[in-house]
Amino acid sequence: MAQSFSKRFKKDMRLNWSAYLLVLPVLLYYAIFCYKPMYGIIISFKDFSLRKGIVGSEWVGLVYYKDFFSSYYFLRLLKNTVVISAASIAVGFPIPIIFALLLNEVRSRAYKRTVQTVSYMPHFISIVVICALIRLFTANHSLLTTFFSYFGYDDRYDMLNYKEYFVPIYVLSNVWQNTGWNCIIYLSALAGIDMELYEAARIDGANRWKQTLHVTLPGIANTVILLFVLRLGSIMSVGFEKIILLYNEGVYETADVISSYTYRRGLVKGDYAYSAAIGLFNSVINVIFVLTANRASNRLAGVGLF
Amino acid sequence: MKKALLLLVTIAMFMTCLPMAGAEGTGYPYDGTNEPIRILRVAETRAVDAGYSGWGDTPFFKTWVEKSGINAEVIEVADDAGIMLTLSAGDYPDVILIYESAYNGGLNALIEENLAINLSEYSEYMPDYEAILDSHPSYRPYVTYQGGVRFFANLISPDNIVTRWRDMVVRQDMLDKLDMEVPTTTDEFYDLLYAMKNDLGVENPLMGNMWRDVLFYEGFAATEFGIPTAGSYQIDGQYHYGAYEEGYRGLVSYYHKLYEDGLLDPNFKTTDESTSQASLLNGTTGVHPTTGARINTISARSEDPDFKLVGIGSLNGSDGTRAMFSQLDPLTPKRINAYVTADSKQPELAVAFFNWLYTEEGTIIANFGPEGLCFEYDADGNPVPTDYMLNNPDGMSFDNMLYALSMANGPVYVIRALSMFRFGKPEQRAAMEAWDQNDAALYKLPPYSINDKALADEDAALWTDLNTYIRESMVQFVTGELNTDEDFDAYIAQLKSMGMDRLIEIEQIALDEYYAK
Repeated sequence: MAQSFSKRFKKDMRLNWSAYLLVLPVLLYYAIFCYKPMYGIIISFKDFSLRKGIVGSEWVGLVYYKDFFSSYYFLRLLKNTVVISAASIAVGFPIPIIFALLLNEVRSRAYKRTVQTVSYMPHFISIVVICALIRLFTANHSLLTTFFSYFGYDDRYDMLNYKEYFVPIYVLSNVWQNTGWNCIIYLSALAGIDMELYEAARIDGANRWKQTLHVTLPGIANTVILLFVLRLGSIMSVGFEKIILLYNEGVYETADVISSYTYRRGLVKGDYAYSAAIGLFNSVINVIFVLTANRASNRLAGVGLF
Repeated sequence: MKKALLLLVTIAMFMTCLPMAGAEGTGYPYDGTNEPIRILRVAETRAVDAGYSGWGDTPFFKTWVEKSGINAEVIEVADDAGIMLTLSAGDYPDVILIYESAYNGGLNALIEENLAINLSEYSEYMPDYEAILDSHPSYRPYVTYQGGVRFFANLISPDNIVTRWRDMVVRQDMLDKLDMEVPTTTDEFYDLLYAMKNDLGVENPLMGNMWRDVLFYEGFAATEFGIPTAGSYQIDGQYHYGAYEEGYRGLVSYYHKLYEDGLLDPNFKTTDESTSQASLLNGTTGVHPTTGARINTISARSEDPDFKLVGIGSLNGSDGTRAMFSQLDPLTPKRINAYVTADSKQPELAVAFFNWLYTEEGTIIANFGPEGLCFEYDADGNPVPTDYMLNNPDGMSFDNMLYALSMANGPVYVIRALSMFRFGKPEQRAAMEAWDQNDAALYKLPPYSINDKALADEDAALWTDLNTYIRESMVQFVTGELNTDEDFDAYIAQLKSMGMDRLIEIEQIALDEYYAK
């Protein structure tokens, strides 16, 4: 006989009270630090004043949104943000997977460990130092410009002078900094594949390449898809730190993104309402991307976040 | 009964007289029995670097407390956001030390939110500050808003040299080799760069990452083209913006010519400070925009005994017009101010505490730090920094020691004796005097601000776009991506369509308001 939900829930609670106790701190964390502050986004519709507080400040409607959407540069900012983000995903997403697959084929444990450690080291360097290094490598008569001069580049000029190089420099330096770190999760997924599957494949006559294709890849496919869907959820989040450390007014056309523009607009002045408005706008687009991607992957591959 | 009444009256009189005694300027030190005045500020990390646990722990702060006889404590937070957080948590101190621009909405918001009370109501507790405000016409309008003095400010004495601290320098040894004089017009300047390139083989004669400021916003070469600067200025109280004037066309084409002829660093957009300083030292550049303080640090790094820098002031017009503009700080620079909040239980004491910084003794200590540790008097009675300040064991620079151990960046009356120490090397002083040969004071805008919230918001929205466009076009004109003959009219039209006229209108309203004070 079917019992009501609350009855079943109570019963389950009595039986598994320790499991419920364990989950309680996590629930509290989300309630207190993630859900409760959410009402704060209403300041993006208010003339926010510290003294009056979030609730007490006066409503001003869509003023900040109008400000932002009516900016002469709105479309350019949107385009640059999406281009930089999409390029980061297109290049930066597959590389750690390939890197993990290659590492996985390495037989010498010591060599594998060394490569792994060396490759994820840059992840821990401060972005300010990373950008200083990038500037040094792309300056005139420097490492990269001298190298490219053999292919016809005029190495009297810094590469950051050119708007067409900004996105490649931004994306490839990201790859350099993060590939090692990002491949860790794939390595652990690879470690979870049942060895018997490889054995069976070998008995069936599959060579290394076929094993990779038919055992390894399907084995990590779920992880890849989930991470990809999650990554799409931050498509609008291009942080301003790296941008403002690398750009100059000569490359605004490809480098100026929403966050760097709002930074110039005066986040430094503590204009919280305006930045909350832009943050909300970004989040809405991010959510749309996650939902769409999740739905597509559910339909096409049968896996998804929810 | 009568006796009792008399006694009461006497006691009452005695009680009202007590704080008054302090206010006369003779009353310091107070009796030191008050609840500590709570001062909220962003941490002064240089105090920590100098070995103290915080700014409130420095000998300067302790001397201030001891000499004024008023207890105080400092709450230090990591950054401006920390101040906002502390305030939004409802924890209101007696005094806030903060840059006005760091508070959203500026002075207007500070007043509206009861964070900047009208100090004039306590004027008997700040006679020394009042006296200094009256000593120069530019001080009082700067600190006065909505009917009273609103904050304790960083004020610079009129005989000071710190207001001129950035412009162009050239290597004297190169001038000597070329047998040329310091240039005074745009043609002479071009000839000098040309000679450097072609006679001395200097790779990039003009280089430096302060190009925006010196070449454009401080009007280094603008006079020849009929505008003081590429940035904002005023003529007879009328607001103007140089990059929106016809004269700007000539200015950008002049810089384009320098770029085209290989005289301006081809990487001017991206060259950083250390690269350009290194180039100046190794002779791949000869003319360099820099600051008075850096003349010292660059020269100290040179191993070439002939290396010497001299200043080039803003260039005059070829028709004899005296240079119109340069970097020039007002006597009221926007530094960290002290605001007394309405939550203070003892505003009289808070006011008296900060007034002490403007007394004769307080001014010296607020400028130099405590006597004995930071400075001593020389035979002529002038304060001289000690070895601890100049060559301290932790290797901190004199400037950083000042930030740690005095009021360098906050409410203080900056006296000439201090600036003579910061910029006192003959080479620096000569450069700063050369930089001073112009009429900047005539065209400089006063330190006004837009006080109406709606106008300020409109201004910020317009300005972010306009400034992006102006700066982007600036480099495009210099590199030739935009042509001054063909594209300049379209550039002006674009600014117009983006609301430049409205921006000028708003600035004019604010400027008129300032002058009305």
